[in-house]
Amino acid sequence: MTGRARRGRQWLVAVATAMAVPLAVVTPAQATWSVSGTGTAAALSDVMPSGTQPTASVTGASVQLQWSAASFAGGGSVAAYVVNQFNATTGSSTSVGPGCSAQVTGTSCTETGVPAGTWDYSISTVEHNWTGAAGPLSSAVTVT
Amino acid sequence: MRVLRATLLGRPRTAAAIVVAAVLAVVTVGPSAATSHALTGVTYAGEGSSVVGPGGGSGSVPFTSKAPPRAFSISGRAAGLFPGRSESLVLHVTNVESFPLVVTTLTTTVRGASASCRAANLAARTFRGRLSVRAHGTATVAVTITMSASATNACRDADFPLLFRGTAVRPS
Repeated sequence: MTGRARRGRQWLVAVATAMAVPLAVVTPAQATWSVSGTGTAAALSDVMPSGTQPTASVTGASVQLQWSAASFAGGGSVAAYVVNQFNATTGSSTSVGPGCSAQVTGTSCTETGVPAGTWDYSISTVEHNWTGAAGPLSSAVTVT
Repeated sequence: MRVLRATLLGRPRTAAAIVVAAVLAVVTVGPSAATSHALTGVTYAGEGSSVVGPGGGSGSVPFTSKAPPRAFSISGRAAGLFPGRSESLVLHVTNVESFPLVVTTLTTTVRGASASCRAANLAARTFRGRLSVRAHGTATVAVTITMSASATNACRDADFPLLFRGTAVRPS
């Protein structure tokens, strides 16, 4: 074999050997790969329910109010209610007296010290910072 | 000159050839590994490999391939949220590959519903675990999504866009 042929064969062997080495080294890395996925969607918040129509009855200078719970469409009752009072003759809003003046967490309250007059009431809903629309007016009641 | 010629044609030159060929081989093997897993379109990273030839030389070629948008898709929907309320956000993971995957993380990014109802009003937990999804199959997992108690009226009847991102591995 001539010197040129021998050197050629040396190159061939060297290249073949070296090609095999990294194959063995790289293969373990294939087991560590990870892939990714993506997607989009939406989260919908609920509509704040309005209050329900209250019933009102009078005992002396007190007015007892009751209403049914207002619920979210997705389930769950609202946390609290606000009572609104109106002069039934003029339609103007007036301050609610003690017993129903703050947020009411139940579905009833009794307003005391109600001045003489004819009044009707509505209920608004509250959930933390959310407020809902007032529901229908109650029948008018007269305090004498 | 005769001495120099002997050095070039002798063992040192053979060693250099091995090193050069080894580096070339690594460059070739990296991308072909991606192709063999049919991950075209998926971004993935393999670990870099270092090769040391008999002549003492070395080469290091990390490989990264950009590929299709995804190996799996994620969808989900939540509704009925109001201040302080937590709901289950059910995520559906669909494997578009022809081999099974194990999903290890699913992250939800919330976008604001409007200028006055910002993303901070909603928080979704990240899934970390092992969710197996068969080839071309779908699996579901639920994460909790909560609306802040301080969300204002601007967040009533709002629509928060959600972006999902996940990672998965191929089970060995």
